Order: sequence, then C-alpha cells, then structure tokens
Amino acid sequence: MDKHETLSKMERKLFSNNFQDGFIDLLFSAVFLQTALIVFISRLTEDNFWLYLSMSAVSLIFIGGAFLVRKYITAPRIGYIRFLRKRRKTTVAFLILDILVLAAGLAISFKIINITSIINPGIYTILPIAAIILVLFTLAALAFNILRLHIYGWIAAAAFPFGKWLDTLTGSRYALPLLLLTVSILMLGISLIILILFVRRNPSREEDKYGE
Amino acid sequence: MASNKKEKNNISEVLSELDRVIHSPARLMIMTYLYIVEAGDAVYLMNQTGLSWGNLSTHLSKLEEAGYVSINKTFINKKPKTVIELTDSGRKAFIEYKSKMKEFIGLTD
Repeated sequence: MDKHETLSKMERKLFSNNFQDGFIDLLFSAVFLQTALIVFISRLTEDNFWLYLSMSAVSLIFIGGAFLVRKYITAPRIGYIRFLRKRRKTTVAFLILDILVLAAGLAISFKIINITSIINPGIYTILPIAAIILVLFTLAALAFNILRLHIYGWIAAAAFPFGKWLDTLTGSRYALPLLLLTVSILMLGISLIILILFVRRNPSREEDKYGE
Repeated sequence: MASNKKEKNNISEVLSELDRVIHSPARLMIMTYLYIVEAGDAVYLMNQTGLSWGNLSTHLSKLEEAGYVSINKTFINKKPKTVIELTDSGRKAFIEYKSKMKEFIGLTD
C-alpha cells in the first residue's frame, strides 16, 4: 500500500513538473490580459466590436507564443512523456469542465450584465465575473496540480471587487481597468521569470541520440 | 532456534528469487520511471534518472534483452524520437520485484 502510494505520488509530481515551465502560466496570463484590455478599452472609447476583437488578437499572439515556446524550447528539455490513460482522462475531464464553466459563466454574465453595465458595472454585477474567474483558475490548478494557479485565481478574482471599490473611492473610471492590467502584467512577468528559470536550470539536450 | 533457521532460509530464498535484471539501481530507476507512465523518450529517462546517454543505452539494452522494455523509433512532430515503454512482462516483473522486496523487508524487520 505504502509503495503504491509512493509511486502514485511520484506520478503526480512528474505530471505537475511537466508544466513547471511557465506554459500554463503564460496561457492564463494571456486570457486575463485580454479581459483587462477589454475592460480598459471599453472605458476609453464607445462600444466598438472590432476594437474588442483586436484585443483578442493580442491575447492570441501571447497564446500562440506560449505554444511555440513550449514546442521548440521547453518540451525538448522536458522530454516526451505519455502519461497513463487514467491521468490523461482526468486531465481532459477537468479541461472540459473548465470550458463548460467558462461557457456557462459567459452565458450567465450576458444574461445578467449587458454591455453597458460591463463599461460601468456595479459591485453586484462584477461579483459573478470574479466568481467565474476563480472557478476557472481553481479547476485548472486541480487539473495540472499547480498551486500557483490557485493564487493567481484568488488575486485575479479579488481584483474585480477591489478595483470597483477603488473606482468609487477615487472617482476615476480607470481604477478598475488599471488594476486588472497591473495584475495581468504581473502574471505575465511571473510566467516569463518561471520560463527563464526553467530554461536556465534545464540545459538543452541535443536531439534524441539514443541508438545512433 | 529452528524458527530462526527457517526464517534465514526464507530470507535466502526470497533474495535468490529477486530479479537480477531489475535489481541493479540504475535499471530499477529506469523500470520505476517507465512503470509510472505509459511511455517516455530517452531525454525523459535521462532527466529523471541522471544517467548519461551511454549508461542509459547500456541498461536499456539489458532490459530489452530480458523482454522488459520495448524501444521504438518513431516520429513525433516530424522529429525522430526513441520511445521506450515497459512491455506487459516488464510490468509483471516490476510488480513481482516489488512484492519480493516487500517480503524481504517484512522478514528482516
């Protein structure tokens, strides 16, 4: 029993270590940056669908970059690992749940918050957004077994009501978006530091030479 | 006294039944890291075990000869990869080795 538990823990640690290269951090930072940019732009200008869409492009560039970094820089250093079927199923289940929460969250948000209230949301309309973000991060943290994602989730979720409170306190309409932008840039910065440290700690291995 | 002798015999018996192919520390590490996943490449095994290319290659050859691992050259993302996985008999041998070691530890405790 003990041995089995130890092997299970080893497998769990191995799986978690597989994502300690900043890849997941970069993905979630990019999504949060997009949210922050949309809130920021919405307060700067009138409703502009194309402007919101261009903000998605910013986030897509970061997401694409994260995948390229993973493929060409970190994955060759980690090596190829095909995890056991049970682990793969659990991870996929968590990710599907994450997507469902996001979809349900968006649907609920659009039902209770219209675009005008996003531009100047009340504290009670902003709380569901914070809750959705917290659930998204928590599910991802559980799927990849990364503690940092729990912390990101709490900080990102807390930024919404705190930013709204700052809005009221300062009387400025930019307090909330600036706080969200600061949090997302902080998350991106941490992701990049994790990536740089990973690359420095794990020397590049030449292409698999085994058997040559 | 008789019980002591019987226990000694049991210990020798258990030790003699240990799988010599797996018993080497390097090969035991390789088997363990392959047991907890479905498959991995040489870089993964090198990272986890700390073995060099040469050492890893030597030990993998011995495990392959025993029929415990299968080594397949394949292409992943258009790049050649050597994918190593435990065979069914390798998994069985590892479980058997674990239970023998448990038995040995139980007898010596």
